[in-house]
Amino acid sequence: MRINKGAASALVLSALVAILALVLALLGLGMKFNFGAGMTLSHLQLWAAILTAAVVSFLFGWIRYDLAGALALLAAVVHDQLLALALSSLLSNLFGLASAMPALVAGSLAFTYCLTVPVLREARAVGRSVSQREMSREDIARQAIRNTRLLCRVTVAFSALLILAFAFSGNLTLLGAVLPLLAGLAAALLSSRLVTPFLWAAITPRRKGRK
Amino acid sequence: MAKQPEVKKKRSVNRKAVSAAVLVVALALTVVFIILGVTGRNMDAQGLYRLLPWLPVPGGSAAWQEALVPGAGLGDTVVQTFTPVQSGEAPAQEAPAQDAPAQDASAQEAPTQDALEEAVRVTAKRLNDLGWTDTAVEVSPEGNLVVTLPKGADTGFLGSLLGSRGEFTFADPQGEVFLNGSHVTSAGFGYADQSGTNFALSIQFDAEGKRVFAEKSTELLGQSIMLLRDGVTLSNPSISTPLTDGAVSIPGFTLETARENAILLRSGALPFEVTLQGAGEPGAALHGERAQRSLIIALTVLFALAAVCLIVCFRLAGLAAAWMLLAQLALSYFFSALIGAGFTVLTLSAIWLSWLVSVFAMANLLLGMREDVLHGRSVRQALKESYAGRGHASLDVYVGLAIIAVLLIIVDGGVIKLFSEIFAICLLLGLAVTHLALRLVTYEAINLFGGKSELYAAKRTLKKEG
Repeated sequence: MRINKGAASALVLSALVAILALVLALLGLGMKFNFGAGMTLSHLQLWAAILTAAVVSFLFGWIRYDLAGALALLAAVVHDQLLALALSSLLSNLFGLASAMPALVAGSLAFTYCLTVPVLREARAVGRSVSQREMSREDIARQAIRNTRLLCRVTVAFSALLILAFAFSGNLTLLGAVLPLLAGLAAALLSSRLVTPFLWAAITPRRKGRK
Repeated sequence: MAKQPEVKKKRSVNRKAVSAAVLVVALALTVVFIILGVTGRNMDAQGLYRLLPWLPVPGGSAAWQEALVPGAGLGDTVVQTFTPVQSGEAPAQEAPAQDAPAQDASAQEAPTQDALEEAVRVTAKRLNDLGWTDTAVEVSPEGNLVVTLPKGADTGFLGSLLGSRGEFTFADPQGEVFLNGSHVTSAGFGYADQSGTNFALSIQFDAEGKRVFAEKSTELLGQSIMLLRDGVTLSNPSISTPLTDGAVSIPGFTLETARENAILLRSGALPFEVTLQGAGEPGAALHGERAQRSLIIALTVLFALAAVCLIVCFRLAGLAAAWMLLAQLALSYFFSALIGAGFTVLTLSAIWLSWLVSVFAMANLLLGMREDVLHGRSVRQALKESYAGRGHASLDVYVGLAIIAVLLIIVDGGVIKLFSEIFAICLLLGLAVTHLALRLVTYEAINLFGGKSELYAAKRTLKKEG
């Protein structure tokens, strides 16, 4: 399995952000909450929710698409959830999070699905219409990204406007409350454009032997 | 002369008239639903039964706040202050717990920082357990517990619940305590019998609690075990069989007392006694005094912007999409009010994220339709193809997210569950609106207004791409 260099760099960047957030959180410099909301945070429930989302996404992807699609969707969900959590933890030092943080991290799955599913479907459709001699799987992934660019722009624009509508309607605590959504959108945009399609391309499906 | 056979004339249905009727009925239903959402309606002449308005509007009448009660973040608040009881003013207990936390005795003197943090945790957990997630619990510089509650909450009940220390103990008939609430891992309540008024408190112990309770219930067979809260006997059930499985069900409670005790058992005991100072001071919303009004206006502008974009890009089909997005919002707020969700960031995020999924789904479908129209396909065929092709992507998004939301309702018991309940309902509404209602309305609009491509794609786009 050989993954595109850009995708590998994006994954390394995400991993570094996640590690930095984890280290700072362990040192007590992350995951700051407003109004004592952190006291009721259940880490177990947060991780259980992420695990549930990952397992369901893998099974859903496998049933609806194929193993490559399932693994790509699983990777997108895990990447986006962890990066959203890490970015929220880092930025919480500036704004402070709210008690709704775990729910909004889970809610940011909406961005992951809206941005990733069309690319995976498009890649699958393009892959079926051309032979591997004409186009490599990486080229197919690039083509899928190009074909879904307009839809991606529309989705990201309205998502950003929704988050801005929340963020600038109140004081800084309201901005902190919707921070997980902002982080989730950034993570979903990164993974759907730079990581997931190339991961899908790297997972070569097993060729069926002729009977 | 032979009669000529009667020729049966085929009745031709005026398709345009049918389409016009369908669209007019659908529009009338939407308008009535939205007007009711803004104004509400008396359901009888005396006004005893009333359909509350459920659509949030800025300023003016605030009747919608009865249906969607604002949380402390976005609505007016009541600030309650709980002062730690200094010196040994705590009510006398029948007997000290054998393994009570060692800090208890000293905590009555002056609460330590750890004890204050534990008190914040316990108080916040009690509020969360009651569904009040949008609140604030903080320690003031004077060392008091300051709790900010929504104005619409039952502050009297909450004040007494939060002010209760909630220390549970089990004692034998002589009053000797043999177990306390720190060994309880979970607590709940349910019907004790068929009467419907007698409720039982169900308690699950940890390994140590299970062992102690099994020993004592065997030893006290035929006698009784007392359950005490803060030294007051709550129940005194007799023991007919040894209870060795680490769980006990204690009957003799009303619904309110069973619920209250279950919440206190789950949260654990406050590390020190507190007293409520006064009835509470009125306060501003936590996210800013004008946050509610600004947010409603900002979200309305966002909707208007989405509607304008859709209409400009996709003309008639865009108008139908904007109409359906409005219908989805009205329905989402209605069902959120119906299940008792408050007007909080959590509820609004669930409603508007599902709305965003619908914006994505409709944009996806209409982009596909426009592409086909520009390639010379008929509008009707383009609509059909778009639902058959690109429509599956949006279907996957709705179904995948809805499955996750339903599973999170089962798996989680906190804020994720509260969010997922509203999100799942709104996603299903979005699915129905996008894949059934929008398709029907666009199909009827094509019947009524014809299939000219200019009606479904902006002229500039036609020139550019044609």
